[in-house]
Amino acid sequence: MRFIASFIFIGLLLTVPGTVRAQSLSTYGTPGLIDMPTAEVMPDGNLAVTGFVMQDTNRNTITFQMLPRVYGSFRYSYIKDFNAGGAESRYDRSFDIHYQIRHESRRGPAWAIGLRDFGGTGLYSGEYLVATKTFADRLKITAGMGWGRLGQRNSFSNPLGLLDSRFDTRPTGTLGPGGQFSANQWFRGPAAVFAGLQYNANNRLSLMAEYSSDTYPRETTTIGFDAGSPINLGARYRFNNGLSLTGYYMYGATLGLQVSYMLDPRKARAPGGQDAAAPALTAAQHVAAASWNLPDQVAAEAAAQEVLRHRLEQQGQRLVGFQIQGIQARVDVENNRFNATAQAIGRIARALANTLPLSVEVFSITLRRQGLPITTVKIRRADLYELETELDGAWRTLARSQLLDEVRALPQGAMQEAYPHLTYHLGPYGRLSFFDPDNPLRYELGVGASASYVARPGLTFLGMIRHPLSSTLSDTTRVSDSVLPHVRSDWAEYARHSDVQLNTLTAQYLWRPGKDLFARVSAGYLEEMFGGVSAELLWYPTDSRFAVGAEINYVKQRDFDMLFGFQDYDVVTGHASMYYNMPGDYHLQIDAGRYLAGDIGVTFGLDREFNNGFKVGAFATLTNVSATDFGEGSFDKGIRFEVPLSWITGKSSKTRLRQVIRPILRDGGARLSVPNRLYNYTREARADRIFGQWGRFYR
Amino acid sequence: MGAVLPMKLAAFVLMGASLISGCSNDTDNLQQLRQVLRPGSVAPDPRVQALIDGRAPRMQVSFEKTDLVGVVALESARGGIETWLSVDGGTLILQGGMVVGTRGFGGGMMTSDVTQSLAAVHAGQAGQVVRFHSFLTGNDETRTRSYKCEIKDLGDRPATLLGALTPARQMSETCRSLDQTFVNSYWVGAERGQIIQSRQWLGDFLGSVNLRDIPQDAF
Repeated sequence: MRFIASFIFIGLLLTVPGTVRAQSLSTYGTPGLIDMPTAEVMPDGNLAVTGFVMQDTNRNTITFQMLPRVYGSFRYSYIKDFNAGGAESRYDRSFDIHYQIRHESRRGPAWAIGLRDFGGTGLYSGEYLVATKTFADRLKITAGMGWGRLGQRNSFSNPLGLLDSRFDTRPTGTLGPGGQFSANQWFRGPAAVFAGLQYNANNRLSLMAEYSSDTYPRETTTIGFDAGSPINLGARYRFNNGLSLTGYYMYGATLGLQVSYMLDPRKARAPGGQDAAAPALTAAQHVAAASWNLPDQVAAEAAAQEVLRHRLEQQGQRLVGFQIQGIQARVDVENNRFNATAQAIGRIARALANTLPLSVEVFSITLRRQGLPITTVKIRRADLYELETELDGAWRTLARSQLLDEVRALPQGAMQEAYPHLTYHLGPYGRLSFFDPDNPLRYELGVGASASYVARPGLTFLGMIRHPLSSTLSDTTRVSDSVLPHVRSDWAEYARHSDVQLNTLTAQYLWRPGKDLFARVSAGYLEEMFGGVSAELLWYPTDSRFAVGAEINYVKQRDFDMLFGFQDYDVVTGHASMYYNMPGDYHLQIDAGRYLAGDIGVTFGLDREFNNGFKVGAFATLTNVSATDFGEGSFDKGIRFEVPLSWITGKSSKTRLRQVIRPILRDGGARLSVPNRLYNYTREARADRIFGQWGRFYR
Repeated sequence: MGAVLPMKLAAFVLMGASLISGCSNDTDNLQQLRQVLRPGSVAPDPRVQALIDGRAPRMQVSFEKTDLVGVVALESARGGIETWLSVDGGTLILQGGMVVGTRGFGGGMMTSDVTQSLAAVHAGQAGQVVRFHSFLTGNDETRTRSYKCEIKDLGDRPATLLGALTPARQMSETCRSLDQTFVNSYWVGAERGQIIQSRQWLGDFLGSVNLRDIPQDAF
């Protein structure tokens, strides 16, 4: 099951050929030999998933190369019968960080420094300084010094003791709630050396041998693991699709097996995607001669509108407003297909050019979502004809177009049938919860229905109901011991006491109070555990990397049956938020305010966001709840992934696969989850993202 | 636990599918999923049917890397640029018989500048030329590459159109960039001086494609 979990995780995230140059990952899922690290890093931005098993031990690791020199890892390990004198197995979560101080050069080795399991409960805590050098392209030799768990075998007194006698002794483990940086232990206590080599027999096969400085002291006493021999051996075979398989002979005692998969988020399934082509621009004289463009002005305009509506519909675009004023056509469109908004704009513009009479020279396209205008693009028809097939046509089209923030109402009359509008979805659903303290994987499967009814532009009623058919969410025996109000830690109670779940049922009004401003009020059953009212204001200038927002909510906790009733607990919660799309693929979000349990604090979220929409990020919330009151984990934190479905299938879709991995879900730093928060609701159609993906305009 | 595993595994597969399936009136994920899982099982694009019914000019196409073979029909022409549509909705964009873009096949050749190559091949002239291709990457960024090419005249060699030998002169074009190399071949028909058969490179992702005119009287 544990190993399966890591396979599933690999499968769910990846399934696709994002192959990169092979790299060797250790049993800890980081660049390394077998148990020992090397000074290597992965190519920038790459993501690796590793599952490793040997006698009584299993480690599953995700490693992400966040910066060219820095990678971080999250690991979920299992050791059989490790706890309580052999009565219980141990599930352990740990984080690593590695910094490459110096790149390898022709003459000198690469140097790196790293921390293994730098927080958490410290089972794998160890620090290292390591150097790696390649010889004749095939042989890599590594040597390093380790502390903590990596400073066990034939250890000597810490050389850092010369600097300060504090380094001589390593304080014993933090057996408290975990989750805190154990900085008072780093590089303390005895040290030991390790070394090893890797020989690449060919592009596929590598052989490894190492001298390990880890003696598995805690495993030796608790589960009788014998790490008497210091030598580990391994052989790795890499497949073309990014997968590699490794077998080990560990410590003269046991065999080990490892599967790892590495991918580059920049490499979607098919560059440019495999959507059907848009109809090419038709020569102007053919458009002029089209039947709907012949004289008899009034009827002609209506006919052209109908042709346009049909053509846009074929491209997944819903025409909701249409008006011709002299040389300008104003159209309002809701994009239901393309995750790259620029691609939607390009297709709308070409449909307009292929349909409207030649008297129309300028297209003013307003992108809307549930009636809310988000961005307006003005494009000259002549530029399309001139630049469609030019070498640098897309960029020159952008240079001649305008992206504006026009707060405008829908034109009266023409498209009265556009609203009200109902959308619905029926089907199976599933959700996963990875790596909680007792179980590597929980899931819920069932059937669900959701619908949204846009009564008029901006005013939407939305709801979702679900009926779980198979669920392990409620299989926990753990009862919340939280001293805070149980705003999240009773999650298993919700799973246990609900049958048909009313997940959300909300009335929502979105509007534009002014230029660059967006506003929202929502009321109803906002999320599974809370209902109430919510109001939000967002300032998001066009073409800006910055946005600022504020939100205030009054909510009451819902009954465990997830139907209409409420419990006694209520709270006023809200945040001020800052969003910054940093140069170079990074996105920062800071939210400061009051959380559901009434605690006050700040959430930091940093994501690496690739241009194609693939995201890998981490978040942490620090509030005025003490580590002791918070309980296990000390504060709320986690990592998250977001993959556009199109990245996997090659076909455009607005669906995104999201997964958050939290070591533990508790009550401190918990934020209300309101549907359709404005920033994420509008962002893909704001100028900044449109610019980034403009290359898809003529796609 | 052993017996439970396959069941759970099945559950996960189902769940993966469930994220994107179901019936809905606002997304076409299911349709798209079907296309990915069972390519070729999809009804031809109605646009193609209309072209076939209207007896539009057609070409035989075969992709070397994937062994996919099919027919494309001329959908539109504007300013000397022709757009040829395949049954699954992909297009090849040609200028004077040379590919200047693809859509919908993956690979993302968006635009090209082949004016020098075109002039040399149509004039039957050997020599050095430069061509440019602009690609969309898997990260939705545009990369424009330039290639230095050598054009050779291989003399009279007939093209094979629908199994029949057709008199033509073969020209080859060997192109290099810093890290890419490819060879294109063109058969210029003796009768009207147009490229009637060719083998052309579409980028790293798609490799080369073979194109053959289907004579108008054949359909």
